[in-house]
Amino acid sequence: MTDLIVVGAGFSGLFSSFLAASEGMTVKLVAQGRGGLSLSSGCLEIWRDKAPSRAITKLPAEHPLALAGKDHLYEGLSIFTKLMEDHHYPFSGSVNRNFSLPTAAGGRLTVNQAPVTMIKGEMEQEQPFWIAQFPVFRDFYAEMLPAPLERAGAKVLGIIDLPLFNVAIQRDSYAVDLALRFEDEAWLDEIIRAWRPKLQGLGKVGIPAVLGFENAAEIQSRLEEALNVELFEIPTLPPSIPGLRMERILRRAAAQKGVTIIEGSTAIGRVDGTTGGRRTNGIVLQTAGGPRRLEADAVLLASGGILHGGIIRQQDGRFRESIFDLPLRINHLPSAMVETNPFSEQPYSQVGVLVDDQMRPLGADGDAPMENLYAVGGLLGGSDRIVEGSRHGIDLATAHCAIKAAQS
Amino acid sequence: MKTKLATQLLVVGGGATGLGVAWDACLRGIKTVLIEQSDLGQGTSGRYHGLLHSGGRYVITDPQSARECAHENQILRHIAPSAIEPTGGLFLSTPSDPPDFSDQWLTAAQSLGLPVEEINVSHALKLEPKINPHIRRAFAVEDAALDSFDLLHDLASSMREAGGEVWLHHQLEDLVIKDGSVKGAVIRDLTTGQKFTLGVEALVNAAGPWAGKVAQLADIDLPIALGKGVMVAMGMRPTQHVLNRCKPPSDGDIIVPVGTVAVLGTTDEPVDEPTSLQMESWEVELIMAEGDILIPGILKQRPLRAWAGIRPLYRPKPTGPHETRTITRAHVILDHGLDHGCEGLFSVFGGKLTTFRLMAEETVDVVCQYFDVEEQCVTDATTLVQAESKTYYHLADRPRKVAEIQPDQPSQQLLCECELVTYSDIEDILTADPSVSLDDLRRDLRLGMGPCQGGFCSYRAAGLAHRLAPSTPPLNYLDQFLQERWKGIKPLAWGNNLRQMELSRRIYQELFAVDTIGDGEL
Repeated sequence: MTDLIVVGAGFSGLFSSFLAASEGMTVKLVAQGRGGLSLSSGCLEIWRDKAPSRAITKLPAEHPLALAGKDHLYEGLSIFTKLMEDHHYPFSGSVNRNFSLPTAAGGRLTVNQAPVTMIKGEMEQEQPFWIAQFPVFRDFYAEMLPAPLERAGAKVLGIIDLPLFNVAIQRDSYAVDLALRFEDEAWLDEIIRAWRPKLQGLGKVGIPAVLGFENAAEIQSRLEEALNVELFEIPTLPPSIPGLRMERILRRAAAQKGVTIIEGSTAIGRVDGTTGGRRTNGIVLQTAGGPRRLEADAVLLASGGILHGGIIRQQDGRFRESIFDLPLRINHLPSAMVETNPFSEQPYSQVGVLVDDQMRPLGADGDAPMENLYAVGGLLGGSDRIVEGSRHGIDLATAHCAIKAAQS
Repeated sequence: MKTKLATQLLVVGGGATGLGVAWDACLRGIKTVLIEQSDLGQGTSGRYHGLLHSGGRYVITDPQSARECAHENQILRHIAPSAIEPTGGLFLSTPSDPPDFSDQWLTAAQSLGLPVEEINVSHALKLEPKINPHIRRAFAVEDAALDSFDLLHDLASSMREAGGEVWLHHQLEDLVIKDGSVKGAVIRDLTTGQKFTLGVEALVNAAGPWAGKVAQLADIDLPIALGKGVMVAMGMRPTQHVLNRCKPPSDGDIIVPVGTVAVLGTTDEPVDEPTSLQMESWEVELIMAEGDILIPGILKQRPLRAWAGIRPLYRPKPTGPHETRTITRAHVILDHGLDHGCEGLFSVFGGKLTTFRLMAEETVDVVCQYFDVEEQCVTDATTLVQAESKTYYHLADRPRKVAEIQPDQPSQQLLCECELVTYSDIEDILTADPSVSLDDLRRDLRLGMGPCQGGFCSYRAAGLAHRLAPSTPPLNYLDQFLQERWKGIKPLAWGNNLRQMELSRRIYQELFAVDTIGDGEL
């Protein structure tokens, strides 16, 4: 018997599955696609504007972070960082303080925690650095960084073009192709020899984030020791390798705890429960052979927001939760859903499922929650996670909160 | 600073009409300068649906326009072959169109001598399997797709070769009028901010929707009305012919296949300002719903972007706030010496992109009379330069281009996968002219025009621009380009398009923090 079905293989779905399985639940994870981790910087964002530990106490009551609460955030965060540490990809940071990292376009990314391969890029350290690039690689342009970063007070010493060889540059090569190459030890030895005259003893150097999938920390320290430099990665145009590293670790950890992952299956509805509309017995999956019932004691939706298909906006301007047709929180008129400036807070992005403090979706009447259904992450309403910089804060806190509730 | 500059003729406006006038004048030996306040085709010419009219649309409402279109259609095919895809067109009488209109229409078209041929419905369905199977009648006409950016670039090159000059990003600020004739123009170079006076003997106001503002510099009220038309580009090309509804001109009566997309047009709303380009969602919905009558199911397909253009219409006398479509599209040339006591100042407006050459010819005839120049117009028999060396970009060119790309050459990497733009395509343009913007690259190469609407290629092209043209202001590139693309898809914020918009935000705001560039201290 399955205790819990999780829908969605993004950060919140994978993390929820791992948590549930760690607590001894039997978990099936159902995913339509690959989730959004290839778009991730690979760092954790909790709240961009100010120290997350303070900001979180001042949120509106219906904000997902406020509903889940500080304790679930802190516990989720500590489980996550412990997991990454166990997989030799340690994160650093403190909930009392954010810091900035340079981006591939010359912007400054505000994060709360960063992996070991990126942490030395912290701009608050005010140490001068170089930026390295591979001229043949189409998804990273170092020339975009110096001017805006210097305006922001950083000291960029210059740009270094690094050769790559025995890399098949195709008409469409991605960061993934390069990252796989870095895992080849013999190739890495050659690269070190070729890079030595260009990098030796330069101090601090930012480099496109392609230093392998597995053993990235090891690859980094090998390069650092051999070249006598300090390296930090800067994420490239997606697919972003640091995001994919988190995905790999989360998937592996979930699988090790016994989570069954069913890919390529779209959840299309619920198996109706027996007690009114307040329980579900599982979900219906669209499979190659037709619809199929998958039963479980509880269901957790981590199907994402607009980008990932958890929320759909129809041509008539109406929004719909794609699997259970759950009631949505909509606070704006249809004509006011899109702001003219793309970087403003976007009302459409705040449309989502409304939950109680155990992450159970509220019914159409807005009061009594579903009994054994949970919603987490980007599916939740009340937040534009891109503008808030609250993505992982919400994912970690709501996942931890939901799994604790599902367990009891 | 430019001083003591002078020219015989100054043309204001870098659209098809202005460039046509300037080209024609140069060929007749008149020393000509053209100024454009932004870039070529930023006004009406670059914002139309891409149709080379057969004339069929106007046979009943405006026979003169119909005749002119039919005539110019044939001329443009000869002088601008590389800008034209000879798709052919169909007028289709659908069950939603007035049944008796098609007979009236056919009679009118035939009496004007337009090449029209009725084809039987089953043949029409064989030609275009996706059209409404319930059409009652079908007529083949000589419509075609005309890429206005290609046309404008060829016109500018031809004009330069004939001795003329094109000054982009130059705005007319004032006119110098002495003793009842125009003597000079006060011009601001918007790139440097510098202002200077250009001595002129005559000035042609071909500023399209801005023509009224230009005339006001001489205290002249032009009889002009502005009509906004909204167009929607679909992320597919379901038809190889231009499709027209066989009914009186109205909203959403045409579908034009252009390159890899199909453009649905258009609407007509009276507006007050040449910059009234904002779109309402009902306009998009209306166009798509009307398009669905020609191609059932298109309503459910994905629109890529929407845009609006402003038609400058000739309105002879005030007729009250009625619909602008009933105003004739025919053009007018006003000699303000005769009409307003301002010698040497001429305005040309109205008309259609299809008739730009004729409008130019007639305008330059008047200017020549003013100058006592006896040269005759030769633009109807002069092929545009470059036009012969280029070929029109067909959808069918794509597999050929993919095959030509050498996979092991880094310079052949695709920077824009949707529209197959390579590293070296962009490199060539940036090397030739480091001042081009991402928006220029978009118009030249269709960069960012495909389904991802710049999601991936914007960063790569901006990066390459920083690499090859380091003096370019950094914000100019990425931030503005993203904002412009956003405007184009904002009226289409549903389904996969909204997901695409969210993906752009995810990449450029969350991953690259583009919104933090240029905002100062840490």
